[in-house]
Amino acid sequence: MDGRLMADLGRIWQVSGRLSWVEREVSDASTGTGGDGAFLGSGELAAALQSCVNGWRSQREALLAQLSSVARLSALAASSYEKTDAQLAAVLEKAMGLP
Amino acid sequence: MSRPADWTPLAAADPVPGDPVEVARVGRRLQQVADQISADVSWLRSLCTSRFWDSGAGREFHGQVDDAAARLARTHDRYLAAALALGSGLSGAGYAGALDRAQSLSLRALTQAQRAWSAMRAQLATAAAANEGCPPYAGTPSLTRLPAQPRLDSSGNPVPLVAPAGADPRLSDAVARYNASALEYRAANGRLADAIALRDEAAARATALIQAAIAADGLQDRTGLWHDITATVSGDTRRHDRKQCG
Repeated sequence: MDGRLMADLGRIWQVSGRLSWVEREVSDASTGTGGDGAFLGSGELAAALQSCVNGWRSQREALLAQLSSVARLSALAASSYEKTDAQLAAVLEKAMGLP
Repeated sequence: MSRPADWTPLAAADPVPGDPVEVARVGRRLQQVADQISADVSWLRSLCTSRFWDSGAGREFHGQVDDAAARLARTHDRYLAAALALGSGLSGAGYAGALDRAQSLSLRALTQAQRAWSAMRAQLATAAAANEGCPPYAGTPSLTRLPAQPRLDSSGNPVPLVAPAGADPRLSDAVARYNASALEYRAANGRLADAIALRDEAAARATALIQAAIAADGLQDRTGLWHDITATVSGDTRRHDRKQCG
Protein backbone atom coordinates (compact mmCIF):
# COMPACT_ATOMS: atom_id res chain seq x y z
CA MET A 1 0.00 0.00 0.00
CA ASP A 2 1.43 3.41 -0.98
CA GLY A 3 -0.42 5.45 1.64
CA ARG A 4 -3.40 6.53 -0.50
CA LEU A 5 -6.89 5.39 0.39
CA MET A 6 -9.89 6.39 -1.65
CA ALA A 7 -12.99 4.30 -2.12
CA ASP A 8 -16.42 5.09 -3.51
CA LEU A 9 -18.35 3.04 -0.98
CA GLY A 10 -21.68 3.73 -2.67
CA ARG A 11 -20.45 2.12 -5.89
CA ILE A 12 -18.68 -0.70 -4.10
CA TRP A 13 -22.00 -1.55 -2.47
CA GLN A 14 -23.67 -1.49 -5.91
CA VAL A 15 -21.21 -4.04 -7.32
CA SER A 16 -22.75 -7.14 -5.76
CA GLY A 17 -26.27 -6.15 -6.83
CA ARG A 18 -25.24 -5.39 -10.39
CA LEU A 19 -23.09 -8.53 -10.65
CA SER A 20 -25.92 -10.78 -9.53
CA TRP A 21 -27.88 -9.25 -12.39
CA VAL A 22 -25.01 -10.03 -14.81
CA GLU A 23 -24.86 -13.58 -13.45
CA ARG A 24 -28.57 -14.00 -14.11
CA GLU A 25 -28.17 -12.63 -17.63
CA VAL A 26 -25.39 -15.08 -18.44
CA SER A 27 -27.29 -18.00 -16.89
CA ASP A 28 -30.51 -17.13 -18.73
CA ALA A 29 -28.84 -16.56 -22.09
CA SER A 30 -29.49 -20.16 -23.08
CA THR A 31 -33.22 -19.81 -22.48
CA GLY A 32 -35.56 -18.32 -25.01
CA THR A 33 -33.68 -19.76 -27.94
CA GLY A 34 -36.44 -22.13 -28.88
CA GLY A 35 -36.12 -25.68 -27.51
CA ASP A 36 -35.07 -28.24 -30.10
CA GLY A 37 -34.58 -25.68 -32.87
CA ALA A 38 -37.28 -27.12 -35.16
CA PHE A 39 -38.29 -23.53 -35.97
CA LEU A 40 -34.98 -23.14 -37.83
CA GLY A 41 -35.88 -25.78 -40.41
CA SER A 42 -32.25 -26.91 -40.59
CA GLY A 43 -30.75 -29.58 -38.36
CA GLU A 44 -27.21 -28.37 -39.02
CA LEU A 45 -28.02 -24.79 -38.01
CA ALA A 46 -30.01 -25.97 -34.98
CA ALA A 47 -26.98 -27.98 -33.79
CA ALA A 48 -24.66 -24.97 -34.28
CA LEU A 49 -27.00 -22.65 -32.35
CA GLN A 50 -27.41 -25.19 -29.56
CA SER A 51 -23.64 -25.56 -29.36
CA CYS A 52 -23.18 -21.77 -29.34
CA VAL A 53 -25.62 -21.15 -26.52
CA ASN A 54 -25.10 -24.25 -24.38
CA GLY A 55 -21.71 -25.60 -25.40
CA TRP A 56 -19.63 -23.50 -23.01
CA ARG A 57 -20.99 -24.90 -19.74
CA SER A 58 -17.60 -25.36 -18.13
CA GLN A 59 -16.37 -21.82 -18.91
CA ARG A 60 -19.77 -20.37 -17.99
CA GLU A 61 -19.58 -22.00 -14.56
CA ALA A 62 -16.06 -20.60 -14.13
CA LEU A 63 -17.27 -17.12 -15.15
CA LEU A 64 -20.26 -17.30 -12.81
CA ALA A 65 -18.00 -18.41 -9.95
CA GLN A 66 -15.66 -15.50 -10.68
CA LEU A 67 -18.51 -12.98 -10.79
CA SER A 68 -19.88 -14.40 -7.58
CA SER A 69 -16.47 -14.11 -5.95
CA VAL A 70 -16.07 -10.47 -7.04
CA ALA A 71 -19.57 -9.69 -5.72
CA ARG A 72 -18.76 -11.34 -2.37
CA LEU A 73 -15.42 -9.50 -2.12
CA SER A 74 -16.96 -6.14 -2.88
CA ALA A 75 -19.71 -6.59 -0.28
CA LEU A 76 -17.12 -7.71 2.25
CA ALA A 77 -14.86 -4.76 1.43
CA ALA A 78 -17.65 -2.18 1.67
CA SER A 79 -18.86 -3.60 4.96
CA SER A 80 -15.29 -3.72 6.37
CA TYR A 81 -14.59 -0.13 5.29
CA GLU A 82 -17.77 1.11 6.95
CA LYS A 83 -17.04 -0.83 10.13
CA THR A 84 -13.41 0.38 10.24
CA ASP A 85 -14.48 3.97 9.55
CA ALA A 86 -17.07 3.81 12.35
CA GLN A 87 -14.49 2.36 14.75
CA LEU A 88 -11.96 5.04 13.78
CA ALA A 89 -14.57 7.78 14.26
CA ALA A 90 -15.42 6.44 17.71
CA VAL A 91 -11.73 6.29 18.70
CA LEU A 92 -11.12 9.85 17.46
CA GLU A 93 -14.21 11.16 19.23
CA LYS A 94 -13.08 9.52 22.44
CA ALA A 95 -9.53 10.86 22.07
CA MET A 96 -10.80 14.37 21.43
CA GLY A 97 -13.15 14.12 24.43
CA LEU A 98 -16.26 14.72 22.37
CA PRO A 99 -19.58 13.56 23.89
CA MET B 1 -47.64 -17.94 -40.84
CA SER B 2 -48.82 -21.55 -41.01
CA ARG B 3 -47.60 -23.72 -43.85
CA PRO B 4 -49.77 -26.12 -45.89
CA ALA B 5 -49.93 -29.66 -44.51
CA ASP B 6 -50.38 -31.23 -47.96
CA TRP B 7 -47.41 -30.83 -50.31
CA THR B 8 -48.51 -33.41 -52.90
CA PRO B 9 -47.72 -33.80 -55.70
CA LEU B 10 -44.43 -31.90 -55.20
CA ALA B 11 -43.25 -33.50 -51.95
CA ALA B 12 -44.34 -35.89 -49.23
CA ALA B 13 -43.84 -33.23 -46.53
CA ASP B 14 -43.01 -29.52 -46.26
CA PRO B 15 -39.71 -29.23 -48.18
CA VAL B 16 -38.83 -25.84 -46.58
CA PRO B 17 -39.93 -26.20 -42.95
CA GLY B 18 -39.29 -23.67 -40.20
CA ASP B 19 -40.73 -20.47 -38.77
CA PRO B 20 -38.96 -17.30 -39.97
CA VAL B 21 -40.85 -15.09 -37.50
CA GLU B 22 -39.60 -17.22 -34.60
CA VAL B 23 -36.07 -17.23 -36.09
CA ALA B 24 -36.11 -13.40 -36.12
CA ARG B 25 -37.47 -13.31 -32.56
CA VAL B 26 -34.61 -15.53 -31.34
CA GLY B 27 -32.16 -13.41 -33.36
CA ARG B 28 -33.39 -10.27 -31.58
CA ARG B 29 -33.15 -12.01 -28.20
CA LEU B 30 -29.53 -13.02 -28.92
CA GLN B 31 -28.76 -9.45 -30.02
CA GLN B 32 -30.17 -8.19 -26.69
CA VAL B 33 -27.95 -10.64 -24.81
CA ALA B 34 -24.90 -9.49 -26.82
CA ASP B 35 -25.73 -5.81 -26.17
CA GLN B 36 -26.25 -6.46 -22.48
CA ILE B 37 -22.97 -8.36 -22.19
CA SER B 38 -21.22 -5.45 -23.92
CA ALA B 39 -22.75 -2.99 -21.42
CA ASP B 40 -21.80 -5.27 -18.52
CA VAL B 41 -18.19 -5.47 -19.72
CA SER B 42 -17.99 -1.66 -19.99
CA TRP B 43 -19.47 -1.30 -16.53
CA LEU B 44 -17.06 -3.85 -15.03
CA ARG B 45 -14.12 -2.04 -16.64
CA SER B 46 -15.36 1.27 -15.23
CA LEU B 47 -14.72 -0.22 -11.79
CA CYS B 48 -11.02 -0.58 -12.56
CA THR B 49 -10.12 3.07 -12.01
CA SER B 50 -8.45 4.81 -9.12
CA ARG B 51 -11.45 7.20 -8.87
CA PHE B 52 -13.56 4.24 -7.87
CA TRP B 53 -11.29 2.53 -5.38
CA ASP B 54 -7.67 3.55 -4.88
CA SER B 55 -5.89 1.48 -2.26
CA GLY B 56 -3.97 -1.77 -1.97
CA ALA B 57 -7.22 -3.70 -1.63
CA GLY B 58 -8.70 -1.72 -4.52
CA ARG B 59 -5.87 -2.73 -6.80
CA GLU B 60 -6.34 -6.39 -5.83
CA PHE B 61 -10.02 -5.97 -6.60
CA HIS B 62 -9.26 -4.36 -9.98
CA GLY B 63 -7.27 -7.45 -10.97
CA GLN B 64 -10.23 -9.72 -10.19
CA VAL B 65 -12.71 -7.48 -12.00
CA ASP B 66 -10.48 -7.03 -15.03
CA ASP B 67 -10.16 -10.79 -15.37
CA ALA B 68 -13.94 -11.28 -15.06
CA ALA B 69 -14.55 -8.52 -17.64
CA ALA B 70 -12.13 -10.12 -20.11
CA ARG B 71 -13.81 -13.49 -19.69
CA LEU B 72 -17.27 -11.98 -20.12
CA ALA B 73 -16.12 -10.02 -23.19
CA ARG B 74 -15.20 -13.28 -24.94
CA THR B 75 -18.81 -14.49 -24.65
CA HIS B 76 -20.06 -11.34 -26.40
CA ASP B 77 -18.74 -12.33 -29.83
CA ARG B 78 -20.47 -15.70 -29.94
CA TYR B 79 -23.86 -14.19 -29.06
CA LEU B 80 -23.35 -11.39 -31.56
CA ALA B 81 -22.38 -13.90 -34.28
CA ALA B 82 -25.47 -16.01 -33.57
CA ALA B 83 -27.68 -12.88 -33.61
CA LEU B 84 -26.27 -11.72 -36.96
CA ALA B 85 -26.45 -15.22 -38.41
CA LEU B 86 -30.14 -15.57 -37.59
CA GLY B 87 -31.08 -11.96 -38.32
CA SER B 88 -33.57 -9.85 -36.43
CA GLY B 89 -36.20 -9.31 -39.13
CA LEU B 90 -37.63 -10.81 -42.29
CA SER B 91 -36.19 -8.12 -44.54
CA GLY B 92 -32.62 -8.27 -43.27
CA ALA B 93 -29.59 -10.18 -44.44
CA GLY B 94 -29.78 -12.97 -41.84
CA TYR B 95 -31.19 -16.48 -42.07
CA ALA B 96 -34.71 -15.36 -41.02
CA GLY B 97 -35.11 -13.29 -44.19
CA ALA B 98 -33.69 -16.00 -46.44
CA LEU B 99 -35.95 -18.64 -44.90
CA ASP B 100 -38.95 -16.37 -45.39
CA ARG B 101 -38.07 -15.81 -49.06
CA ALA B 102 -37.45 -19.54 -49.59
CA GLN B 103 -40.81 -20.41 -48.03
CA SER B 104 -42.63 -17.85 -50.21
CA LEU B 105 -40.95 -19.31 -53.29
CA SER B 106 -41.89 -22.85 -52.26
CA LEU B 107 -45.53 -21.80 -51.77
CA ARG B 108 -45.64 -20.32 -55.28
CA ALA B 109 -44.12 -23.58 -56.57
CA LEU B 110 -46.78 -25.63 -54.77
CA THR B 111 -49.66 -23.56 -56.16
CA GLN B 112 -48.23 -23.76 -59.67
CA ALA B 113 -47.59 -27.52 -59.38
CA GLN B 114 -51.05 -28.31 -58.02
CA ARG B 115 -52.70 -26.33 -60.82
CA ALA B 116 -50.55 -28.06 -63.45
CA TRP B 117 -51.08 -31.49 -61.88
CA SER B 118 -54.83 -31.13 -61.88
CA ALA B 119 -54.78 -30.16 -65.58
CA MET B 120 -52.37 -33.03 -66.38
CA ARG B 121 -54.65 -35.59 -64.76
CA ALA B 122 -57.67 -34.39 -66.73
CA GLN B 123 -55.70 -34.33 -70.02
CA LEU B 124 -54.15 -37.72 -69.30
CA ALA B 125 -57.61 -39.23 -68.85
CA THR B 126 -58.75 -37.64 -72.13
CA ALA B 127 -55.63 -38.87 -73.95
CA ALA B 128 -56.02 -42.39 -72.51
CA ALA B 129 -59.69 -42.47 -73.54
CA ALA B 130 -58.71 -41.44 -77.08
CA ASN B 131 -55.95 -44.11 -77.14
CA GLU B 132 -57.93 -47.24 -76.29
CA GLY B 133 -57.58 -46.71 -72.52
CA CYS B 134 -53.80 -46.58 -72.55
CA PRO B 135 -51.83 -43.36 -71.81
CA PRO B 136 -49.67 -42.67 -74.91
CA TYR B 137 -46.22 -42.63 -73.33
CA ALA B 138 -43.21 -43.30 -75.55
CA GLY B 139 -41.61 -46.75 -75.32
CA THR B 140 -43.14 -49.62 -73.36
CA PRO B 141 -46.78 -49.45 -72.35
CA SER B 142 -47.46 -48.14 -68.86
CA LEU B 143 -47.58 -50.80 -66.16
CA THR B 144 -49.17 -48.46 -63.66
CA ARG B 145 -52.40 -49.52 -62.04
CA LEU B 146 -53.38 -45.85 -61.81
CA PRO B 147 -53.49 -44.69 -65.44
CA ALA B 148 -55.00 -41.36 -64.33
CA GLN B 149 -51.78 -40.46 -62.46
CA PRO B 150 -49.14 -38.70 -64.57
CA ARG B 151 -45.84 -40.53 -64.70
CA LEU B 152 -42.76 -38.80 -63.21
CA ASP B 153 -39.11 -39.43 -64.00
CA SER B 154 -36.35 -39.88 -61.39
CA SER B 155 -36.02 -36.08 -61.04
CA GLY B 156 -39.72 -35.74 -60.27
CA ASN B 157 -40.52 -34.18 -63.63
CA PRO B 158 -43.45 -35.42 -65.77
CA VAL B 159 -42.70 -37.82 -68.60
CA PRO B 160 -44.16 -36.27 -71.81
CA LEU B 161 -46.84 -38.00 -73.84
CA VAL B 162 -46.30 -38.84 -77.48
CA ALA B 163 -49.03 -38.71 -80.12
CA PRO B 164 -48.41 -41.33 -82.83
CA ALA B 165 -48.20 -40.10 -86.41
CA GLY B 166 -51.67 -39.72 -87.90
CA ALA B 167 -53.28 -39.88 -84.47
CA ASP B 168 -56.86 -38.88 -83.86
CA PRO B 169 -57.05 -35.06 -83.51
CA ARG B 170 -58.70 -35.51 -80.08
CA LEU B 171 -55.66 -37.52 -78.92
CA SER B 172 -53.16 -35.07 -80.47
CA ASP B 173 -54.93 -32.16 -78.79
CA ALA B 174 -54.97 -33.90 -75.36
CA VAL B 175 -51.29 -34.82 -75.72
CA ALA B 176 -50.34 -31.23 -76.63
CA ARG B 177 -52.31 -29.83 -73.70
CA TYR B 178 -50.86 -32.46 -71.33
CA ASN B 179 -47.30 -31.65 -72.41
CA ALA B 180 -47.90 -27.91 -71.94
CA SER B 181 -49.11 -28.56 -68.37
CA ALA B 182 -46.16 -30.91 -67.85
CA LEU B 183 -43.83 -28.03 -68.72
CA GLU B 184 -45.67 -25.88 -66.19
CA TYR B 185 -45.19 -28.63 -63.58
CA ARG B 186 -41.50 -28.88 -64.47
CA ALA B 187 -41.15 -25.12 -63.92
CA ALA B 188 -42.81 -25.49 -60.51
CA ASN B 189 -40.45 -28.32 -59.64
CA GLY B 190 -37.50 -26.12 -60.62
CA ARG B 191 -38.86 -23.28 -58.51
CA LEU B 192 -39.09 -25.61 -55.52
CA ALA B 193 -35.48 -26.72 -56.09
CA ASP B 194 -34.48 -23.02 -56.10
CA ALA B 195 -36.33 -22.51 -52.81
CA ILE B 196 -34.58 -25.48 -51.20
CA ALA B 197 -31.19 -24.31 -52.50
CA LEU B 198 -31.84 -20.79 -51.15
CA ARG B 199 -32.67 -22.21 -47.73
CA ASP B 200 -29.70 -24.62 -47.76
CA GLU B 201 -27.21 -21.91 -48.74
CA ALA B 202 -28.54 -19.51 -46.09
CA ALA B 203 -28.46 -22.24 -43.42
CA ALA B 204 -24.89 -23.17 -44.38
CA ARG B 205 -23.80 -19.49 -44.20
CA ALA B 206 -25.44 -19.00 -40.80
CA THR B 207 -23.97 -22.25 -39.48
CA ALA B 208 -20.47 -21.29 -40.66
CA LEU B 209 -20.73 -17.85 -39.01
CA ILE B 210 -21.74 -19.37 -35.67
CA GLN B 211 -19.13 -22.14 -35.85
CA ALA B 212 -16.38 -19.61 -36.62
CA ALA B 213 -17.30 -17.59 -33.52
CA ILE B 214 -17.39 -20.73 -31.38
CA ALA B 215 -13.98 -21.83 -32.68
CA ALA B 216 -12.42 -18.41 -32.04
CA ASP B 217 -13.42 -17.57 -28.47
CA GLY B 218 -11.83 -20.55 -26.69
CA LEU B 219 -14.87 -21.01 -24.46
CA GLN B 220 -16.29 -24.20 -25.93
CA ASP B 221 -16.55 -27.27 -23.73
CA ARG B 222 -14.06 -29.90 -24.77
CA THR B 223 -15.73 -33.07 -25.94
CA GLY B 224 -14.78 -36.18 -27.83
CA LEU B 225 -13.14 -39.50 -27.12
CA TRP B 226 -9.68 -38.17 -26.21
CA HIS B 227 -11.15 -35.57 -23.84
CA ASP B 228 -13.33 -38.24 -22.20
CA ILE B 229 -10.32 -40.53 -21.72
CA THR B 230 -8.10 -37.80 -20.24
CA ALA B 231 -10.94 -36.54 -18.02
CA THR B 232 -11.53 -40.08 -16.72
CA VAL B 233 -7.82 -40.67 -16.12
CA SER B 234 -7.43 -37.33 -14.35
CA GLY B 235 -10.53 -38.06 -12.23
CA ASP B 236 -9.13 -41.49 -11.31
CA THR B 237 -5.77 -39.95 -10.42
CA ARG B 238 -7.42 -37.38 -8.15
CA ARG B 239 -9.44 -40.09 -6.40
CA HIS B 240 -6.28 -42.19 -5.98
CA ASP B 241 -4.39 -39.18 -4.52
CA ARG B 242 -7.20 -38.46 -2.07
CA LYS B 243 -7.17 -42.08 -0.89
CA GLN B 244 -3.42 -41.97 -0.32
CA CYS B 245 -3.66 -38.71 1.61
CA GLY B 246 -6.67 -39.75 3.65
